[in-house]
Amino acid sequence: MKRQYKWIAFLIGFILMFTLGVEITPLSERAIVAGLAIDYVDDAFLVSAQILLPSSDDSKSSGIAVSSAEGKTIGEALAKISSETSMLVAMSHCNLILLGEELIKDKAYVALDYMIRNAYLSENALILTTEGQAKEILSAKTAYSDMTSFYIQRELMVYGNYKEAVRRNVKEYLSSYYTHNSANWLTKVKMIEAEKPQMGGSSESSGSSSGESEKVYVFDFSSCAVIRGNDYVFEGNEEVISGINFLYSKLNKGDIIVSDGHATYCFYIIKSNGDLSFEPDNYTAKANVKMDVILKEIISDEPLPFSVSDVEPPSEVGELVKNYVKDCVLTAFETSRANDVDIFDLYGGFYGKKGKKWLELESGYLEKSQMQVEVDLKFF
Amino acid sequence: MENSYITKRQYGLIIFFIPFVFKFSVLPSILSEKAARDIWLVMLLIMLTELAQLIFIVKVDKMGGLDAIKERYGKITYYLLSAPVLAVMILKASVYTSETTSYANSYLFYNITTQGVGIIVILASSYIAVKGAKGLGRIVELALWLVPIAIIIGALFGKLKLTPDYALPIGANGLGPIAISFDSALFWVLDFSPLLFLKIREDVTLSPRKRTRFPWVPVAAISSAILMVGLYLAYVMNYGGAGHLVDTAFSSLGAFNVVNTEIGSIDWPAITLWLSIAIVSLSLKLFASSKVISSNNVPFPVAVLLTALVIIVISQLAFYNLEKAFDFATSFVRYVVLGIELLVPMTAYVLLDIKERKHQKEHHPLEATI
Repeated sequence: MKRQYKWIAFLIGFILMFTLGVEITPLSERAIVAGLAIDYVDDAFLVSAQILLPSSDDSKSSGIAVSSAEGKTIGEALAKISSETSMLVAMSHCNLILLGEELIKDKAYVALDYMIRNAYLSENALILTTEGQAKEILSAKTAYSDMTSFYIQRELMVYGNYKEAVRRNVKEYLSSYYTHNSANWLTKVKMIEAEKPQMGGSSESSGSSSGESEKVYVFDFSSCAVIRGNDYVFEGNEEVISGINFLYSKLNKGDIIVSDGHATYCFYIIKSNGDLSFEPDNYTAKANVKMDVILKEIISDEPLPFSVSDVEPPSEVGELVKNYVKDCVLTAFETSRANDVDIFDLYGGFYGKKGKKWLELESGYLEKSQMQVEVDLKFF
Repeated sequence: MENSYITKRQYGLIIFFIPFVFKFSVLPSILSEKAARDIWLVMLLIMLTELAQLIFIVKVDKMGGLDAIKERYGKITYYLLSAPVLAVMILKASVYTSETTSYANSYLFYNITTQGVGIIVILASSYIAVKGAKGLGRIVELALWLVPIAIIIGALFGKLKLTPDYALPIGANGLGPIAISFDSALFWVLDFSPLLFLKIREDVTLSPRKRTRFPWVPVAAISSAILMVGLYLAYVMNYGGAGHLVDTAFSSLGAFNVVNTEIGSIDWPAITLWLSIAIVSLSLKLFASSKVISSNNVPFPVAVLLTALVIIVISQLAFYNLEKAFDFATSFVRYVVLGIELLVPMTAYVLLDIKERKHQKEHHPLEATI
């Protein structure tokens, strides 16, 4: 008898739940967004979504498509995409957001408000900016993958550990936005036209069998957009990216190439980690980079006085590597400072160390600040 | 049916888990607005206050819980003490139900109404409440297994990147913002009150040596306090000045920042843990409220049903969105709630202690004199 009551209670509960409004959307009616591109065109947001198209049997995707729509808000544009595709836009698998060049000029944070409020979007979604329109990048056919958004994610998940590409997510962008100087940076994606890869040594391309010359692309991540608050300030080159990465990222891949006039040396980074300490009284920030490297290759026309079993090059070469790292960090700092951007959040460091007394010293701190870089290099 | 007995281990686990739930969802974001990087100091104050309440509650429970008041002082004294607790439990459960449904509604489902989720949450909580202390104890024991799962998955795939500088300088803005934040969090401070309706007994499945040796209650209480302060510190080091933008702390930080893959995220261990404990917490409040109602010759399951109906009606009509619930929780009501939750255990302890001493005096007059 007791068991009957239990079932009746559950039955009533479920009936109430369903009658009070549950909208069940089958997978076949969902546009699963894998990547999002946001541009700002003619005072409106142009939102493009790379979506996985469902197939009729619900168990697999039948293809991919990029759908675009304009709106006064990002939500409105996405609603239009839903309406045009007659599918519900589902954001929970979206791990890539591309912000167009025009948008980040003064609206990068504005565009992110939707991401902050959207519970389905992961705060770990990668965020990048693009050269030109973000839509073009998202729609581009890549040489080595069918899907641009997955291809870019893979590139950054792997090469984000190199010194050449800054991996940034929504959470990190917001944390930096809420520092004193609101200094921020985003990797800039550039499209480079590529040749179609040859498959299995045959002359047949991997593209369409029709033999049409469809353009394919690879992407370059070797520059970054440096932003302060809502404003795009300047484009950082590869040295700036490396400088930021030496201090902020734990690297475990990537090459450092130095030359002493007689030979060119290539070192592979096994492990690199940087940290900052602060001396607010004399406006000094000390960067300490600990790096383990392997001597990978030497290019020289002349025979060198050490064998392949020597893992440690002459000390002068070691100094060249250290100087390279120092130069990168200092370039990132100096170039940013010249544009009034506190890229390494020195203000936060000085304030953290000095407390309230720092407020008496803060005036013109960026001009007065100096950066010292120490590199602890080990050869393996 | 006596359904109030719980083992020391289960009692300890409830103490360990209860602070984790509603203090680590939306509260860090609210506290961040004023206390910013010092929110972990606010949590330290909260946990110290909570531990002070717990000392009295444990002492009362060791003497038989609030039921002992009824036995030794009669029904009127019992109602005088338990009626305010009943009101507090219903109000807290209504606000927390709104919080739970709001989370489940926005994160776990597409296009579902809060009413639908609310009914399921209350239905599950009511079922556990009817099962009584034993059911509550078993569920926290099962939920404990989710802790290592969440830690292992987080350690393997997580991307928690902490910046210690974000937590510095400590207390640079003085006590003002910390005090203001603490004041605004008073509604969420004392969550151990339902334990007044539980009675601790030895776990007969354990050997007599183990039964008495392990200090479950102090270990659980101190670990919980350290865990909560630590989580808040990690929250600051993770989000810096953007802490006020994070709407559910456990979902972000608890999942070690959500594992990012091409196909989505692996945040279910933290979500499952939080939801399980949220439902246990609501069940505990339902259980406590129903104990008061059932003491007036109302069958316990009927009392649970009545309380559940009141909670669902309040949470759906008055607190139909999170902001309405927070406006209420941060109004003057928080002082009343705090007062009741502090005074009732203290009064109960004093009353029971008087009887205990009197009893000792009567049975061992010589010892008492000495």
